[in-house]
Amino acid sequence: MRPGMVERAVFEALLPAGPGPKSKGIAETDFARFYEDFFKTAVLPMRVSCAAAVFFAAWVSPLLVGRLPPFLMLSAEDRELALEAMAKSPFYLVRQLLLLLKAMAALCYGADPGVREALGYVKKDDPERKT
Amino acid sequence: MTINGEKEGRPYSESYDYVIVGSGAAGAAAARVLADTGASIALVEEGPAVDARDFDDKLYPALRRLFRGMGAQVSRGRAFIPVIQGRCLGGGTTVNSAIVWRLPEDVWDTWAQAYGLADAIPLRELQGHWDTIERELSVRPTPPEVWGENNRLMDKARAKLGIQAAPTMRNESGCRGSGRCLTGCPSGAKKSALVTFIPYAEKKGAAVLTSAPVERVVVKDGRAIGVAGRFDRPGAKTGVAPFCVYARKAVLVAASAIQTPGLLRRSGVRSWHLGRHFQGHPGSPLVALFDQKVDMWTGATQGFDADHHRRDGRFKVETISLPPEGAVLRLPGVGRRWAEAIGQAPFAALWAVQMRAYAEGRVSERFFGTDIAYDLRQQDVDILRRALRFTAEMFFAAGAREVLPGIYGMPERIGPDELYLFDSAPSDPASYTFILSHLFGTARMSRDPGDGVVGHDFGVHGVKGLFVVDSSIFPTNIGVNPQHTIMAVAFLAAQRIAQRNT
Repeated sequence: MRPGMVERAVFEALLPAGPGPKSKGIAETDFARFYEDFFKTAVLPMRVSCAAAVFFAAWVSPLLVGRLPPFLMLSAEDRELALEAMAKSPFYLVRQLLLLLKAMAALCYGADPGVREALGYVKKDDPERKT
Repeated sequence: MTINGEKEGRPYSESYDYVIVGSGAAGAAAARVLADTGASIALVEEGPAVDARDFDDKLYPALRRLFRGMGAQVSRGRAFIPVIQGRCLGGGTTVNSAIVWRLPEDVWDTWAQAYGLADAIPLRELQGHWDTIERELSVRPTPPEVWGENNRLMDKARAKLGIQAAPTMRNESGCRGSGRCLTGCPSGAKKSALVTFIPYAEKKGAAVLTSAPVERVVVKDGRAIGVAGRFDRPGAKTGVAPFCVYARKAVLVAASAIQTPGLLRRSGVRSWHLGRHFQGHPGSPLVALFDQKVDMWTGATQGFDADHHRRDGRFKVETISLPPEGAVLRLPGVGRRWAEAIGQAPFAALWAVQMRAYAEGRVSERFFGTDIAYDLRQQDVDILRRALRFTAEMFFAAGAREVLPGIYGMPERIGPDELYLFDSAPSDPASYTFILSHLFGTARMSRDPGDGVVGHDFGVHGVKGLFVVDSSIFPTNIGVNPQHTIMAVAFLAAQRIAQRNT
């Protein structure tokens, strides 16, 4: 399952290009491949939870900031505000959904070689690694 | 001899003197002891065998390959707490930070006095086994040359505050400080069961079955005679081969405090206590930003800890290095604020509180799988508040610029003058971030079958030839990292079982 426009919009609002390591956002990583691999290989409860998190962000989070869904129709600022509202929601489950989105983004972003290089991460100890 | 269930297409049936279910700290230690008796052994592991050369430094492949439920197994309560378990050959020892702590004497005293275990688990015998294990697994304090800045900062806090803290005792030889314990040690420096006890037992003739989840212990006429299950071939929907491994002398269950009760229940064991009294050590992280680079991914993963308040406060503070994915996730904000915070990741240090919680939960089998009900008590939240404040104090003593609590209802960043905020931190556990990785008590030991599941001889009450040798039998949590105690208790149990069967 490759990410569609809605999924890409959610994750690009979550981790945009510009302020991050050397201006790289999630869109500049191999997110499409990661997303596809994730929904192919993750355990079922994880897939279902993450799909629910994406759905909530796309179709419900705009309501949290007084805008009408879908997420795609929002300006960049409002998209960020909608996700911020999820993070600050008084409802634990909503905060957990945002955490799931952040976890997915972090698994992709933190593994990107360019991001790792920008962070100063040096891979050690793989002298005998199989290829 | 290794039988790899991922490749096994034919049914497997064989007899051994002893069958051990689980290859983690307990199962591997039991195999190590029984291998010396000359008996034939089968070590049956649910997860895959992963070669050290295949350990990657990326988190997602490691979660998928080495951890139960990709690390997403959670307990159910006011907060969802990830219950982290290794699911691979070597179990938790393959993916933990090699931390070695002996069972504190005050905890053993409770076991002896309140639970009557003085003769069943004598401290003197444990001490002898600890000596052996420490020798065989090259246990030593983390050497300064592999501390890295994250660990060095805790030493700085120790010196400044005069608190009880020290380099962590770890089972390793030749650690290069690659900060990769949690995704599997790529150099084999970590003396996990994967590179020590299991190969030792194999050299002495033990058979190791991997990707072989045991469905049930086969019990006939009140006696355990083997285990049965189906190999786990990824992607295979049909044609998965069954296996049945018969035990001439005994079946030893070492499947962990989460899996052991389910296995016993599926095997016909009935006890009110089975699955109850579940305890753990909830861990909660705290991040701090420094002016200088910390590069938390450099240095020993967990190389320093503070047990200053272990007895009076029921908590310990440990350093912990996460790979970049984990570090990124721990930083606050969304959108541009998160991206900016990620730019600060090299300046972030991460330490975690490990609590000896009072909470008791229950592990049971439901339609959708294993259900872990676990809810922290108010006393536990009080411990947590004090522990987080203490950790923040340590951070500031080490020179932190600000601390990022990551607690819902608290400011995102606090300075050295705002430590008092922890005293009024939320009382709802759902406001905090936890993990649960040390698990105990779901088949606890008791002389009387009415008080527990396993007798003083480690045998399951009412079933001959069936023994439990993992931390399920512990009557309480222990307040320190449990691998060493689990191994020593498994040594003790395996020796007793061998003596009974000679």
